[in-house]
Amino acid sequence: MDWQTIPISEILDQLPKGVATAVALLLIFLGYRRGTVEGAPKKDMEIAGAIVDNSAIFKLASAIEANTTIMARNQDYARSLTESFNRHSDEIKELTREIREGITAMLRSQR
Amino acid sequence: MRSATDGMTPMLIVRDIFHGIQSHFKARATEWIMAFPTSMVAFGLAIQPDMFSRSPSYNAVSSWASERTWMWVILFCFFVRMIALVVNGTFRSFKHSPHLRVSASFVCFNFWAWLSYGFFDAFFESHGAFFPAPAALTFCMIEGLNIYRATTDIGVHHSELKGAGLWTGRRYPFRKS
Repeated sequence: MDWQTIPISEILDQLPKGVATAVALLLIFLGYRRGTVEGAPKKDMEIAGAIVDNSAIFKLASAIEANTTIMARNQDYARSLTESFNRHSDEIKELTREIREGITAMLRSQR
Repeated sequence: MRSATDGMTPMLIVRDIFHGIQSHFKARATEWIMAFPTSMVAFGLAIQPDMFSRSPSYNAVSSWASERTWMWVILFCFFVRMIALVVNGTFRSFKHSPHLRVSASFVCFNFWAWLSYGFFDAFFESHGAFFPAPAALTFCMIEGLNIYRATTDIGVHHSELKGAGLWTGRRYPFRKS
């Protein structure tokens, strides 16, 4: 490719538009980094009469949220466990009935 | 799967939305304000379909897309922003409103930057009016501030998830069993 065919003037014309996008991307990067590094803005809050740092409340809220998720999951496990126990219980009942019938049949055959 | 509005009556939803907007208004004031020029630009492009051909100031913007396309893009950004601002903080199970705000601000930032560049270019090259150039640049700077604030919110949310041990670094922060 002949370098003289590269439309330098056209590229230079488009450059300011690219600068705007680059600045926007830089702002996204800086904003995200500030958010992750500094976390929630800290200020004193009152909870149950005690003045505490609000970051502690945010941590507590996150922990409660995590606990709720875990509890919901545990509830699902407990439900499936209960269903499993019910199924086993039914099968044991069935087995007991069959054994009883077997014993009855054996006693009848001995008479 | 539970939805964000499970167990809520319509009146409770309206009250929560009102309180959500009220509690976040101070922090989101610039985004509410920028919704007005954004909607006005979309309206202007709708009622004046040949706007870009009326002045050389619009050369930079028109080189990217036509009036009709810009109108739909700006209108879409306006609605996305309004939904994000209304939902934000009201329904805690919806975590992506800052992402919607960033997307809308990103597009609007570029639009105002190119418009501002066009106005400056017209002023220096063809004696266009000077006033629209700094005005558009001001809108552009406000959108830049909106981008910065919304991405800070995303960062704060991610750091909270990390603090609670729920962050997996994937798109969906909760571990799937």
